[in-house]
Amino acid sequence: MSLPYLLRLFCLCAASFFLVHLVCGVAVSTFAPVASRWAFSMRPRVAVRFLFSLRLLPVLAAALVTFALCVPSYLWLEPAATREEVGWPFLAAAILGVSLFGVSATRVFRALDSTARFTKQCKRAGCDLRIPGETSPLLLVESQAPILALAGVWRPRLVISRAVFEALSRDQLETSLSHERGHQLSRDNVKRLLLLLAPPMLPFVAGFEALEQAWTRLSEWAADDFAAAENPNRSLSLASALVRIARMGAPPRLSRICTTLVGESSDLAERVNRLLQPAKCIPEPRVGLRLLATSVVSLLGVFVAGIVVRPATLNAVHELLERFIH
Amino acid sequence: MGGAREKVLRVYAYERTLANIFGLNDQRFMLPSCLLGWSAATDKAGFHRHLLDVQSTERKPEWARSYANERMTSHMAHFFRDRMLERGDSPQPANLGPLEEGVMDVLWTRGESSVRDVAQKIERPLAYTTVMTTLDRLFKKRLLDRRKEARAFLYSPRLTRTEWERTRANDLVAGFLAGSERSRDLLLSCFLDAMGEHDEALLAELEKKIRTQRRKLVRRAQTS
Repeated sequence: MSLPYLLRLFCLCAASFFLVHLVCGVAVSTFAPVASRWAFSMRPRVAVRFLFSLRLLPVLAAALVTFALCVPSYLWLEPAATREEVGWPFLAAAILGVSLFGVSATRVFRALDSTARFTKQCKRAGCDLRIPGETSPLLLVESQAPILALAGVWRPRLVISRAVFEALSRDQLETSLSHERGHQLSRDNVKRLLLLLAPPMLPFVAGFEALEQAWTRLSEWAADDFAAAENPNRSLSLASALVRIARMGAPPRLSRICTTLVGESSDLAERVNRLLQPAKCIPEPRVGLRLLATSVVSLLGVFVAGIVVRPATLNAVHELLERFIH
Repeated sequence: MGGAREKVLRVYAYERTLANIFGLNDQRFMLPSCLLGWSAATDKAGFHRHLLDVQSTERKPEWARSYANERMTSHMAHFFRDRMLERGDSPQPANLGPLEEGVMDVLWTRGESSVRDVAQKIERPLAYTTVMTTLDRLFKKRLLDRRKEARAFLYSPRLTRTEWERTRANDLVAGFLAGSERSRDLLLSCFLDAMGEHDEALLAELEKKIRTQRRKLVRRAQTS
């Protein structure tokens, strides 16, 4: 099939993104079980950052290779205004690349839409409630459903139902709200959105469930730790709040970018047990680990900058792309 | 106390089996979502939520419940029939006796072992020949593979523990679904009862732990 210059560029971006993403995705998902085990031995606050970075690694690597190598080499070395024949494997990769973006965009759109509808409904059916100690007002909804959630991405609101508000004691309410504030401070809803935005491995094969599940669990643990603040009384209040809300029945199914206090019911027992047992002394990450991570990223940056400014590299990339396209 | 604990453990085991039956390790498995018209691909947490929702169907009108039950039963029947067809030349489903289970446990833990190894590792003292006969019987049931090495057979399990449990659970449920409508209803109601009991027992256990911990904290505060 013969394609014009710009359409070829577009297909090239999609195809190279798809291929690099697939290779990195396979590597990451192979490493995922080990990474998850490793993450569960860290402090949750650190572990969520680690897992989040790992999940975004394929998309970042694919974007880096596409926009730092493939696009410059094409723009620089491909003669403009020519039509060229392209091969079917290249077209198939391009279509799969576009489908990846399509799947991500659909997921994000659905999640944003459902969050917007939920927030709108809550605003319509609820009223603002100021609680001493809380910086912003809660949205109190007249409902018997067990809702205590942080809804919204950019300016998230704490939503609480009348049933939960009345069922919890003052301490329980305070620690539960702290838990949600923990999510808010670590921008978990934004991270959830980014996880949805990060494409799956193949259009209809997610491939990163293990990492995402581990991240979700650990983000809850991190928020629990934030709310408990290493105080046994607060831990106890939060644990009893969790059980009390779980007793109220199944929470309504909210959007994937809303965090709820008792969302993952299968993890409830583990969370309560964690809060009840004395805090294990997990050491803070060593400076060496951070230094290593920073060095790796810097070296990678220098490497990419080096190969981009060196024309021979771009020539090699261009030759490779020519073979791939035809 | 002991009874309650046992009950919790039993229900846990049942839940795990059900999770295996429904392939919940596979994120993309669609649950019999027709039950409540819940059409999203789900995860284990979602499954729990789903079951809690199922309990709330009791508040639904009679026609809706009956429609949901019919569709769920049909979904389950298709699911298990497909899984049975997929099985092909896999081990014969059978109930294992306590001795056979003990032997399988050793092999699942140790991997490939000789008769002597199994006889040494099995919990209760058994004659060498008894273990040999048991291993031979399991081999004939196609649950074990064996190869000869230095005049002795080395046995290894053909299925992992999880695969075996899944196979057994499939057979159990398929047996129920192949039966009359009454037995299907019985299965469904047992299923829902077990999940309800599980949630109730779990929450009660957690509340008890919280109370104990609170008492400890109060005592500690009083002494200091």
